[in-house]
Amino acid sequence: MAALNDADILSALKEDTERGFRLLMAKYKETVYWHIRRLVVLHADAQDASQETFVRIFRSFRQFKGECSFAVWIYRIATNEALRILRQRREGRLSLDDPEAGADLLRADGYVDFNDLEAVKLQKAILSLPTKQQLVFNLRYYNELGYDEIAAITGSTADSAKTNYHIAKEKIVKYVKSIV
Amino acid sequence: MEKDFDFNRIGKRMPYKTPDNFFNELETGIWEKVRDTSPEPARRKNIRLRLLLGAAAVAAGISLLLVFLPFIRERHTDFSEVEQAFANLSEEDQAYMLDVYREDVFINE
Repeated sequence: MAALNDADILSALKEDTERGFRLLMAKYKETVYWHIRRLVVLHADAQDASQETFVRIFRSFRQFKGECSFAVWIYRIATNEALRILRQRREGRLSLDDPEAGADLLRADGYVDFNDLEAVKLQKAILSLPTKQQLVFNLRYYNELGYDEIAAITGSTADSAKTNYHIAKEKIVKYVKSIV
Repeated sequence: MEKDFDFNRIGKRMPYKTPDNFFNELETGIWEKVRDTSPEPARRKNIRLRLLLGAAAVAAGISLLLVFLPFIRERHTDFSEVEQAFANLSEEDQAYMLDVYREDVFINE
């Protein structure tokens, strides 16, 4: 199947809601889920936040005015939903300032493959970062977004995104070395 | 530096898994939730109204400043004033502000 074009998805949503919805999901459901999952860790939370993200996108796609790309707009909504979950946890009992909080969440989730030690180690390292650095690192490393796009999602500047990415990378290397 | 930890070796591999058929079920679940709802209509930009509101806000701001200037050094802005100002906005502008608030990724951080 040819790569889906965002403009085609938007016009399909306006003309034939179900077809537009299917196209939207075909292109973005996995991207959105994995983006959220990397931030919230727990599968159940990622599922909830992904659902909310697509419900919001579906209900408000007509408000999308093209000030940024459709993908950036989707990432912003998804990021907000992930941060909403993190805020709820912060208001509850889990402290996100604790670098081991992420590792605890990994252990608590039933949908993690602990046989892949290197991948587990990398996620633990990412989860030890402050939320904004996690976000910037993930968007660059996993989603391969440009710094301008990351800046548009996080509400910062491209320079700040670039700095945050490099700081995050250094911290990850340091963290991994510390637990070898 | 990356001799000790090779990002290229791990690549995008993650330890996370999902239940079988998860993505199809996710799509079905969301469609069930939204199929009977109609998307919100596009918000029309009423430039004249916004200009009028802007001018009114500036005028109100200057008036308030003149009235409360003597007290400004003694008294910090009360949260209830913010609430009152918000309540004075039209429903459309309240919705717009809430949208902006919700869209701002780190405003509540």
